[in-house]
Amino acid sequence: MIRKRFFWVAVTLQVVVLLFMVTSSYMLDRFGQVITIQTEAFNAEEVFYGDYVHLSYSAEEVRPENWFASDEVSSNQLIYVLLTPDEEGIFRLKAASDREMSVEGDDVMLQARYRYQDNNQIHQIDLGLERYHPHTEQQEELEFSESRMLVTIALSPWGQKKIVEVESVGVEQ
Amino acid sequence: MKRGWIEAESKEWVEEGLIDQKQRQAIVSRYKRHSTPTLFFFLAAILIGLACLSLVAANWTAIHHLFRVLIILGFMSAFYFVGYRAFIRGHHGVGVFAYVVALSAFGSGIFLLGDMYHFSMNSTLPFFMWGIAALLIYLSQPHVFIWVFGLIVVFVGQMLATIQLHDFDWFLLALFVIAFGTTGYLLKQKRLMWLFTSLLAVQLFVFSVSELEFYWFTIFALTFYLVSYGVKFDEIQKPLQGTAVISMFIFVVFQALLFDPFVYSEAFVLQEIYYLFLIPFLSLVILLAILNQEKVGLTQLVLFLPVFVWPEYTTLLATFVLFTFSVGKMVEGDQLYEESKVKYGIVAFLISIGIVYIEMAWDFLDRTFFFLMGGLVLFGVGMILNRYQRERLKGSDEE
Repeated sequence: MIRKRFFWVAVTLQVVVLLFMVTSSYMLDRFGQVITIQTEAFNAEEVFYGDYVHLSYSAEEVRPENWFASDEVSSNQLIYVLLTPDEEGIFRLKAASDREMSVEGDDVMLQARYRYQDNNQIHQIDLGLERYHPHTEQQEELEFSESRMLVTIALSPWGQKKIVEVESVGVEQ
Repeated sequence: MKRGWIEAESKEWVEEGLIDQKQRQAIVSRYKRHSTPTLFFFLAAILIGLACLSLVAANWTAIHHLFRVLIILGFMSAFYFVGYRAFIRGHHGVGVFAYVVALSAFGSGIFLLGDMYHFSMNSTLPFFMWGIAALLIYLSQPHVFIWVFGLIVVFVGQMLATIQLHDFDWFLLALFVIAFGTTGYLLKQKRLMWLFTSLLAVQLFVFSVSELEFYWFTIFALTFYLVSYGVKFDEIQKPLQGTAVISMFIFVVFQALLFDPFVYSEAFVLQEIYYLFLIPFLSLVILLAILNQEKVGLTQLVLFLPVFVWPEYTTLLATFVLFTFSVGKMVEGDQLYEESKVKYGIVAFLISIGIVYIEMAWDFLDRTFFFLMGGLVLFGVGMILNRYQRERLKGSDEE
């Protein structure tokens, strides 16, 4: 009898997990805060891996002047990133630290993971949003553009985030 | 295999008049014909499960989002239903097959939905959920294949976490040890315990390398060895101790081969706290071995000696450890009349010789001299064993 119960608990749990993923996605669309961030300028051949695009954001490179971590941070450590909007409404990196920072005005805070420090003293971090599967018709558009991409992401108050939309824009020379 | 052989062999015995037809049938019937349809069902389940996973790559983008969710949920529930019905009717093979397919559908469902909704997936939570699901299904139908499936899911999750995300996941380890360890303990099957202990050893090794220093693995292996004295059941004790010894053997082999004093002597810092663990653990193991009256068996503990303490001599010390271990195994096997132990000893011995041949970079000790010494020592051991055996034979004659 107890075994039967285990079975039903297991099946219900699995259905609930999958349904939770679906609903939380729609909840994010509805209740999440939507911001736009920019990727690095890219070459179409370098970012396409089969059917998905590998996105590297400008906000993932932290210059020493924006770096406020206390001491040595280890790989994969949790990093808080503070973004602030510019005149065009695109969010740019303001500060990154291993401690939580106070959020003022239009600023938003994201969680990222530390990767490494490169030769130019720039700290590489990972926002965890690097994979994007474009639609079929969008795929062609992205494949032939050599530019930056504007990525709209949705942030939930409970720390979840996801990509809503990706569009390419020309690079201003 | 066995039955086929006994059938053919016993036919000759009847012809030679050793036994009669009735006796032959009685003998043959002792060897049951093993049928393995469950295995085929399990392999079929794996293939279909793989097909299910490769759906990720398939042309899946054309279907509407919500419809995809329905497909995943429907596929999973359908197989659970089929499995459930099969178990009620007593078709265990089909039931296990259906459950494994359903579990694969659940796992791939998590990743498919994650990709579809562009979630950031930098966590081990999917593997944790997947492992929990497999565990619950196993508890509802305690079938070893489901247990193995869950074990591998958790193991793969841990490997991805440590190697790709550089973050050893304690929850996955807890799930592995507490949940799968307990159920595995209750199963009391030697082969499954071997699988469990070796997968655990791999995880702990990866953990030592990525989060601590590589040599901390010796402490984990010692822990395995210590725990093995605490369990009475042979099915669990043997794999625990065996995994500890084999993993340490591999560990020492790698040190003999790859340890480069020029690279290590500068960067290598031995944390003092390491001794705080090593000395009590090692003494405890030695004490228990003595209390257990493992006379020659004690030599296998040389594997746990910290040969990396003096980087200049590491390769040499490691080779000595390997030789002592293999000769000890051979002598032990000879004393206990255990053929298999002698064989393991010979294999270990050949590996050790191979290493000396490859690793000839000792400028302070000539290879010729080393082999000569080794030969003389072995000759001495052989002499002693020979005399010992003769005395034993004499003793049994007098009785």
